[in-house]
Amino acid sequence: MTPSETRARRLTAEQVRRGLLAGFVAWLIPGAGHLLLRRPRRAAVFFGLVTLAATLGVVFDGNLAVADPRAPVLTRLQVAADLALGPAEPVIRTALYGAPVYSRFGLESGRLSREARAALERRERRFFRRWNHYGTAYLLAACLMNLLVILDAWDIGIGRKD
Amino acid sequence: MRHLAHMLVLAAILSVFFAFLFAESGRRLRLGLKLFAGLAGGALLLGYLMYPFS
Repeated sequence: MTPSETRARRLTAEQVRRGLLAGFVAWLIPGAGHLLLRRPRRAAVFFGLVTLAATLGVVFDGNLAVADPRAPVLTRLQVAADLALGPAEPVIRTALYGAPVYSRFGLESGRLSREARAALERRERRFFRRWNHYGTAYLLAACLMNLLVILDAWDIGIGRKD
Repeated sequence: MRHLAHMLVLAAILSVFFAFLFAESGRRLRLGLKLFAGLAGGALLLGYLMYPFS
């Protein structure tokens, strides 16, 4: 039996339920998973930092990732990382581009809808704004921080961490 | 200068975040300060290596 199998066997159904619930709630609202697990101070700090980074990203004209046929694996990973921000991510995406566009696949062959093409154009234009690269760094930092917050909530939920 | 300001803000955010993620309450300040020093120093060095004469 491998060590991971041993660890998996030791987890009770209750632990897994708590971990999954905490992780899901943390995905819904940054820090809420920690609040559920009675870590209000950490919850407040995580909520504040993730929200601050995401806000700075939007203020400084950052861009969210879209899957791109020129670098399919990396850009899909970036999109997955962005989605860790939770339901706020599609809201921000729609606010920035006018539509929740996630992919550039089919742009050259004309398979994308007019709405999606317009959203991608809006996104491309933002690259020329002065602070775009800094904004993108803040946005990506917010998404990756929330990914770590979700994993931390899972660890606390299953009892692997205090 | 603006690059430096952005890097310091980002370094501060990440330092506080990782200090709260990884350290117990008594050791957070020390870890946060070490992280901030490392991140800010790294950003300065990277900025200098990329734009040495600006």
